[in-house]
Amino acid sequence: MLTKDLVAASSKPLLLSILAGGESYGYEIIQKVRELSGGQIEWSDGMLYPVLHRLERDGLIESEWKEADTGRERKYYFISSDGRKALKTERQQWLAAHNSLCKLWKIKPVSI
Amino acid sequence: MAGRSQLPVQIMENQTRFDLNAAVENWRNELAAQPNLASDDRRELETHLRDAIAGFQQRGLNDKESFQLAREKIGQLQLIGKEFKKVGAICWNKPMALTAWGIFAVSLFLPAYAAIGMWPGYKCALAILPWHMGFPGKGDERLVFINFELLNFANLLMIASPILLCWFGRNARLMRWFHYLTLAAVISVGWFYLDEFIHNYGRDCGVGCYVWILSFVLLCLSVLSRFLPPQNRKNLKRV
Repeated sequence: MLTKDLVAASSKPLLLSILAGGESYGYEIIQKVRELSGGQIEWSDGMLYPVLHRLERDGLIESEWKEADTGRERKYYFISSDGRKALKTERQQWLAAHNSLCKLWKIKPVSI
Repeated sequence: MAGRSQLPVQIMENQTRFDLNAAVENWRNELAAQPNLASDDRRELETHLRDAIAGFQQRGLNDKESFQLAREKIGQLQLIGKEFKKVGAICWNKPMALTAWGIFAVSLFLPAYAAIGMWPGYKCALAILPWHMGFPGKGDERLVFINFELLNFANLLMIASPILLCWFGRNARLMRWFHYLTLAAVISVGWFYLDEFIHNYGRDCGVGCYVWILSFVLLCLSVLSRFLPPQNRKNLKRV
């Protein structure tokens, strides 16, 4: 399980990356993160929304209420052009940190 | 005999049967008691709860277990409320803006300037309009002394703001520009009235001017409340 600090720090790149793959809503995002991390990243479901709202406030994502196939209305989030730029920066920074650790631990780094 | 002996059991089962709708309703009331959550936030969290319940039900859990697990997964509502407060997603203060627009509408019909026989504000604006449109001969010359370019900038903001705020109030990027526009209007109108009061001691100003100033200040406060630190915003209603 990831520590609380690391979970918090990785939330922004995770959410931006998920939304870069297409629009999504809170419950679906939580399921996706759980599946991707194999249960290593456990968010309290309710805490996801303040994070999403913060990204929205900063102009990195946008939202819209839409009716899903089930007939239930859901708030869908999608990435903005500023969000894509922010994701690029996040990616470079996380890979830089990752590669530095890889070199120290003698694991093959990935290209940035 | 057998039928009579089963009767109390059936009654007990009915009494202890879990009412999912009532449980969701209770949870919703608990959610409504959180001061930092807007109606939109509550609606979103409730949708999540219902999605989670449906997810657990699909895995074969009964209503009670599904509800309890979904509620547990969402977490403590007080903590969520606190997190929402930190985000400070207020883009503008709606009740304050509504009051401002109401006062603005009233101000247009109140006497505005002594220099032109205390015409109402809307009549002054219409009289000076030809000057702005490039037809100086058609307007009322007595109004030319007033720096109406600045005033009309603010008037335009007052008229356009309901559309801008209602349609784009939640679009962070557009709101950022709207905040800059409001700041520019505050500075220019502040300068205009300061100049007016320094030179004329406000003698020309009718009651319409003061009411107009009040509406403008209220609108600016409602928009700029976004810039207040969270602890100063706790009493503002989120929209």
